[in-house]
Amino acid sequence: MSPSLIESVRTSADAATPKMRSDTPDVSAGEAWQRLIDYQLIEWGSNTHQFEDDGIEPPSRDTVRLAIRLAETLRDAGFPAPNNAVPDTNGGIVFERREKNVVEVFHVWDDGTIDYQRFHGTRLIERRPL
Amino acid sequence: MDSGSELVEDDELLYRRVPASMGWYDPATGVLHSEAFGPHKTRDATGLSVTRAKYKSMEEAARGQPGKSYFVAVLRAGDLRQRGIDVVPRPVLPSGHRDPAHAELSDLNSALRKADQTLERQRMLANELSLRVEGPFTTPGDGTG
Repeated sequence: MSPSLIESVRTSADAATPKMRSDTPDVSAGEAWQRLIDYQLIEWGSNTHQFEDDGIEPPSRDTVRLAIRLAETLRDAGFPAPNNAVPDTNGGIVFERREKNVVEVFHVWDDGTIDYQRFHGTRLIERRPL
Repeated sequence: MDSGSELVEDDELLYRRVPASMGWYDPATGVLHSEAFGPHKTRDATGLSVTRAKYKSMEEAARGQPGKSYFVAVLRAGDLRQRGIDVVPRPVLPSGHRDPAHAELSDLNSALRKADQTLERQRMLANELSLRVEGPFTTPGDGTG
């Protein structure tokens, strides 16, 4: 997850969805990221058993730590906070932000890889590893 | 009654169980997350499980781990096929047990779980093909049901 790749994601995303642009630091977005980190991700890391269910793998502590690092990086880079963050079926974590018909996703996979994905409706129009 | 190996008809309704604990469905907004249709890396080797409504009630389809709650997303087989998602009967489970209600979306499977098309199909299922979401239904705990 290099800063240059994060920057390139921002440049690309901003070009296509100008409303999500964040040229100046957005205090409320920063606060939203911090709430996500403090009240959701840290809680998940300390209690991974809450997601144990039929056929579901809870995120490991390493995956939660990686998601926290990603959230901090995106917060510091001025990205808008996601609308939601959920675990996936396999122990990964997904940050998702919807803006009208455009959905941006940061997916922390269970193997430690991270994808940026952008959808227009249900169509995947951009995907790159971070 | 059929054995469950007969073709899934286009007008058949299908149920997909969605664990409430995962936050994949928000009843306040009605938003169903695409992760509700994410294949497991090993358990969905031949496809994503769904339940045929002709064999089981919604409450039965929602049954999972004792004490846990589940929503149920309702789908129609023909709608899925129109969008390129196949539905196949799979009455014999990997464990060897028979369940005539068990069917699979064979295009969404473990091997393809990270494929672009799988991510798009998950989103189609959540945003466009789910007719409604019902529940939550709580699976009775041990000794209570």
